[in-house]
Parts: sequence; structure tokens; C-alpha cells
Amino acid sequence: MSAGVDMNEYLDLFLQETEEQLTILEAEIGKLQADPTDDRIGSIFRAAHTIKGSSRAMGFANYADLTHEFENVLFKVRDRSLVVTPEIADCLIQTVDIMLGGKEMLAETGQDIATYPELVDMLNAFAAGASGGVSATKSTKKQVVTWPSEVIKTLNALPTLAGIYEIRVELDETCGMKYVRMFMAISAINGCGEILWANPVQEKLEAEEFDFEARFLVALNANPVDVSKSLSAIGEVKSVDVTPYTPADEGIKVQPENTPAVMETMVERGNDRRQADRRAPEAKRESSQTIRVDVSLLDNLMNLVGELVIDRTRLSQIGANIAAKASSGEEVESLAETVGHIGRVTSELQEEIMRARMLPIDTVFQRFPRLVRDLSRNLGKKVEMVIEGGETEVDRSVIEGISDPLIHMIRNSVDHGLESSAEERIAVGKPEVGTVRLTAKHKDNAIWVEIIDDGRGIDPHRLRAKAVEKGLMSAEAASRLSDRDAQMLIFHSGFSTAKEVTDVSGRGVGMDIVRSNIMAMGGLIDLESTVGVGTRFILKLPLTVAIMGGLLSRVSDVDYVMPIGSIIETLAIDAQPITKVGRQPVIILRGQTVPILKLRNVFKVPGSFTKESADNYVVVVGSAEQKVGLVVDRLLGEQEVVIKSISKYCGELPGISGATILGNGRVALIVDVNSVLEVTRGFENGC
Amino acid sequence: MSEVAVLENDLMLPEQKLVRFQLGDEHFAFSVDSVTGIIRWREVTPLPSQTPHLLGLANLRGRTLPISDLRIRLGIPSERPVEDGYVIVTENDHGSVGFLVDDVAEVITITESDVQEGVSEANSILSEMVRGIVNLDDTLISIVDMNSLIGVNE
Repeated sequence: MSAGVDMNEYLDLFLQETEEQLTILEAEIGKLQADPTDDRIGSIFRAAHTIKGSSRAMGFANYADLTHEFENVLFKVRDRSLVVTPEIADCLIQTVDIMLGGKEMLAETGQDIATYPELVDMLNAFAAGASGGVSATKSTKKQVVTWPSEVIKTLNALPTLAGIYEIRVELDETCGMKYVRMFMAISAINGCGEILWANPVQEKLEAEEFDFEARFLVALNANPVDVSKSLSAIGEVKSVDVTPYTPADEGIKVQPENTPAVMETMVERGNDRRQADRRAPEAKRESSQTIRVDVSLLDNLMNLVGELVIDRTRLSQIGANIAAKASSGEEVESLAETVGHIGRVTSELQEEIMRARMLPIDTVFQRFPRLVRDLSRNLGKKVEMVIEGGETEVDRSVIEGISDPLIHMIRNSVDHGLESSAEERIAVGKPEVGTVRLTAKHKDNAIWVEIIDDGRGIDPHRLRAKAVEKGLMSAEAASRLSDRDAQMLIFHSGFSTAKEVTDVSGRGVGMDIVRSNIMAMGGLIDLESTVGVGTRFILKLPLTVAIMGGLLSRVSDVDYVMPIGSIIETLAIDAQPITKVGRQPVIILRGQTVPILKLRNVFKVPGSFTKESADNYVVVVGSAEQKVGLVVDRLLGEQEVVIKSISKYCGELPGISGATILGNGRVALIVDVNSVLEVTRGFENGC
Repeated sequence: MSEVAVLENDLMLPEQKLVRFQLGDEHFAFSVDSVTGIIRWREVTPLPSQTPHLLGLANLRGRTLPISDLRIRLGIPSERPVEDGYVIVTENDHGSVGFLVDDVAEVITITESDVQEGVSEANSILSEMVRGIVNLDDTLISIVDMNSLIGVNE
């Protein structure tokens, strides 16, 4: 049982991957002949190669073989020993069509596709150097008309294939106006049946993009012999074949029946079913189809939904106000109902658009193995890079935001984290090859990205010494730092513990920038490090940068939003008396001393001194190891806010990372927890 | 001057459109080019900024708009409460900003030849910001240079 489940899991993965690669193939193959750039050929080749490998691994030998032949042709094209002629292009496109149709079949049945010997022969011929002149055209004539998978599926679903015919019409090669003639043929066919599919398709016929020959799949309701006669009567038609349709798949055992009476009724039934069935596969195909959308369109949609989110909150407040004032009535009720509905629809809309903006984090991760390889070569280190959770989907804005910080951190791990030589590692009993592990996962409504190395760890003593040496703090203050706080010093600006500056990881302008970038996105960065064992950096990132969960609080007349991810807890102040350590007010929280700051002092808001309202609450923010309590007047609750940028006109606003508009239309300021923490670090360190 | 001469004159010196407004008792104008609208005063959220004329952020149709009090900015005393004022909304590459003024009169059209040198008062801020004066129906209007207004923000 479990084996079956596993297999299904693999099948899903395989289908997903194959679909992605086929999307690439489909997009690129059509342009191959007109514009055979190296990039295009390369990406087609790679896509085919990937499909071949994975379908072989799944045991779909026929699928893999077909792809293999396709790949062989591309190989020749790539090394420029084969020029893509229209014939070759057609053949390749046809192969991709079969691969697309075949994938649908694999998805539905889990069974391998049929073999396509004639197509394989053609591909072989091309790979062997045939450029598709006359001989290839000949072979095109013989084979290999592939009907789209949905047509075949529809046909296969019929109880009988009676009445379904393939009609081949070949025009005289001297024919001047091919489409006119073919149009006459099509009209004639239409007069005695329904054309289910044409090859080439109608548009190509109209554009005269065909070689004097077309094939039609027709549900005939007339005598095939008569049809053949009337077609042959059209001028400049060279030959006509009307043959009963037989499925390529041998497994289907439906024999055509030629008794006209039976045929007629069957066709009628068949027509009805086809009408219904044809719609169904189309709809299905649409749902699995993808389109390319300009990123700015998604950004705009996201912004617009952001506005809706604000209005939704405002609406429900207004609704509640009206309900409170008005005596109960039908209208108030239906208002509440409508507001509720708008709320739900908005949430769904927001979710869907956010999903549309999601990319696998691999988009960033995939470049790191290369980075690490180059880096380790430069540094003469042996490093293995392990990536986990690359499929974790994150918002585009997050992808953009973490790219640079991650590059820096990984460089840092390879350069400073790992021991400088294999000998050094062996001497401490570690494997010769160092490991840098990069992982991503969803956890607690956030994305956790971890960078873990098994290197030497961060030595708190060295950091203390460094801090004193650089004049960042007194020796006495440094000695008061816990090991943990000392390690956190690497996030301090102007701090680099590398014994010498290297090209690789810069001059100590690194980790503080990494930290502020992450914090600016509403994320958090934390580290765990044990000397001699290794270091783990933990990034907790928001699901999206545009919308953020926040705790709304008020100081005097100003509303502040603190990112929910950085809030540890909230306390009523009378439950936690404020004491002082030196001149720094602190609260004692389960034995830990937490410095506190009055937000009104941090943000010297005009008027906030005159309106000395009660300091009622402490919001403890920061990470497990570095906390600060921010004193506010009131807590207004948790809320989703849309982050709005602040005009450049305002210049630097220390402690503020952005603004948002609340449900009541007021502007609230988003607190930059990182820079507030910086302020207290100053206090702590006595500087 | 003949009509032809006037016409030629206008052709040589393109017209400029300025929005005219009042601070205290004085009349000012600046280019309408970056003006996107004029709104009544609305509530702002003060910013932790050391810039006195920066009153705070207002909500303008779902976006935040910093409001700069032009009376403070240009050093013109005014008794009028901010609640009665107007905000001229501007937008350009340096970001959006709304300028609080006491009253907005109209959009005027001038040619460069109408602009005279000189500043109405010995006010050092004004002399930096005002690039000339126009006499329109016996009212002296100081023309404020938009670039120095939005450029560097002290």
C-alpha cells in the first residue's frame, strides 16, 4: 500500500517537473527555426534531457525513447552540424505535441505511451544528417498524422468509431491557390459530415502553410465513397483517401462498422457525446495551461488588493458603527451580511493573488551550488553544499529581498565559518569536506531559511576582544556581555572578525547590512553557534513583503505598527514594575533583564510631551536573546497592514521602516524594530 | 505695440502656467508642472523628523503623502489655523509631497518677460527660493522655484 502511495508521490513530482519542462519546450520549439539562438537551443536541449532522464527513471521507456530521439536531433543542432529546416522544425514540433499529449495520458493512466516508429525514424534520419529535403517530405506524407490528445481521448471515449474517417486530400503540386482549393474541399467535407480536426490546422491552411496535402478527422454522415467522389471532382485535387479512423493505440479494440444504418445512429449519438466531451477536455486543458504575465501587472494587482484590504477593514468598522447606532432592522442586517461577504471575497482574492506571485525559493537557491563551488576553489577549501526545501514557495518580493543577503551569508559561511584547511578540520576530528547547508521551510506562518555550517563556530571571546579593540565598548562592558550577546556582535556595523580582509567576504560591512535588509523586509535574523561545532543562521521571513501582520499600538495621538514576527509578548505595566540598572530602566522578565524604552522618547513626536498619558503597556520585541520592551499608551490589537512606502521627500526617518493606512483612514507608522534594538544596544554597552 | 508684435513676442517666450496661492498676506506662485491636485487640509500623522515644516503623513486615496507647511518653510507668519488651509499635491522624481498653503487662488499664465528680479522682503529663505516677482493686476506675486523647494530637504 505504502509503495503505491510513494509511487504516486513520485508520479506527481514527475508530472509536475515534466510539465514545467514541456512548457519550456512548447514555448521555445516554435521559435527554433526562425531564431535558433544558442540560448534557445540550449534550453530546449536541457528541457528534453531532463524529461528523458526522469521519464526513464519512472519506467516510461517509450516516452523516454521518443524524447531521446528528439534530444539527438537537438544535439546536432546545438553543435551546428544540422540546420533547422522547416521540415525538421515541423517534425520537432510534432514530437513536442506528442510529448504533451503523452504527458496527459501518463497523468491519467499512469501507463507509458505507445511507440511512434515512423516519427522516431524521421527523427533518426534528421539526426543522421538528413536536412529534410524531398525524401523527408515523402516520409511526412506516409506517416504520422498526430491528432491532438483531446481529440483522441474524445474518440476513444466513444462506444464505437463507426463513422469516424480520416480524409486525406492532396492537391496538385502545380496548384496556384492552395487554400482556395483546400477551402473547396473543406466545404465539400462539411457538406457531408463534421470536421473534428484538421492537420494542418485551419489557420495554417488559410496561411497556405502546407505542402499540398491536408488530413481531416471527420464524423461522416454520408457514404464515404460518395464523399471521395465529390472531393476528387474538385479541380487540381490530385488524390483523395477516405479511410476509417483507427486508433494508433492497439489496445483499443473498436472495429469500424460500415453498415450505413447503424452508422447513422451511431454518428448521431457520437455527435452528442462529442459536443459534451469536447468542451470538457478544453476546459481541463485551460485550467492546466499557464500564461506569462508581466510582473508589474501582478504588483499592481497586489497593490489594488492592498487598497481593498484597507477598505474592507474600514467598511466593517463603519458597519459596526451603524449597527450600534441604528435600532435593529433589515437593512442593518443585510449591510452586515454584505460587509462580511466583501470581507471573505477580499481575503480570497488576496490569497489567490499572493499565490500567483509565489515562486519556489529555488529561484534564488539554485545559483548557490555554483557560487560555493567557485568560492571553495578560490579558497582552496573542500565544501559540500546541501540544499533542502528548494520547492518552498515564497512571494516574489521576498525572493528579491533575500537574494543579496543570502549570497553574502553563504560567502561568509564558506569563507569565515568553515575551517581554513582540510588539515585543520581533520585535526579536530571532522570530515575533511566541510558542509554548508541551506534549507527553507514554512513554519508558523513564516518562511524559515537556515544556513548551517559545520565549521569552527563563532568565538565569543574573540568578538569581545575585537569590540574592545575597535573601541566599540569598554573592556568592562565587553566582559559583561553574555557569550550569546557577544556572538550577536557580528551584526554590529563595522565588525569583521576575519583575520584579514578577503575578496570573498568583504570588509566588515556585511552582516549588519544583511541584518538590516532582512529586518527591512519585516524579517528577523538569529544565530546559534557553538565553538568547534558550527554555526546556524536562522532567517524568519514574512510570507510577503507587501502585507504584514502587525500589532497596533498608540502613543499620544500616533498609531504605531510593530511587525508581529518580532513581538515576543505584551505586558500590562503595573504587572511588571520598572526598575533601573544604572540609568537604564528595565523590567525583569522571568529572570531576564529587559531594557525598556518609552516609544514617545524614541520618536520625539511634537506634542507628545504635553500629552503625558499613562504608560500602560510594554511590548517586548526582538529575538529570544536580544529583547527590548517598548512602552506604549494603548494596545489596539492585531491587524494585517499593507506596507506603504514613505515619500523620499521625508528623508531619513530613524526607527521607522514604512507606513500604512488603517481601517479608519489614519496613517500609522511601522516601527523598524532593528534600529530600535540598535538604540538599546548602545545603552547596554554603555556607549 | 501692434498685434503682430505681441504675437511674435509670445512665440519667442513660451508661456508658463503657475498655480497662485496665498501665505499669510503674501502672494506666491509656482509651476503647475508637477502639481497633481489640490485638496483641503486633512489630518496628518506626525513623523519622528527633525524638520519643522514637515507636518506628517496624510492619507491621500490610500497612499501616504507627506505634508510640508509652506508657511514655516518660507518663513511667512500666518494666523490661519491649518485646518482651514489647502494642500497643493505635487509629484516628481523626488517623491510626492503636499504643500500646505493658506489659500489657493487660480492658475495664472505668464511669459518670462513678465518676471522681474528681486524679492519683496529681506527674508533669507525667500531670497533662496524665490526666483522673481510678477506684477499681476497690481498684486505682487513671488515665484517660488519648485526645484529648490523639493530638492534638498534640510
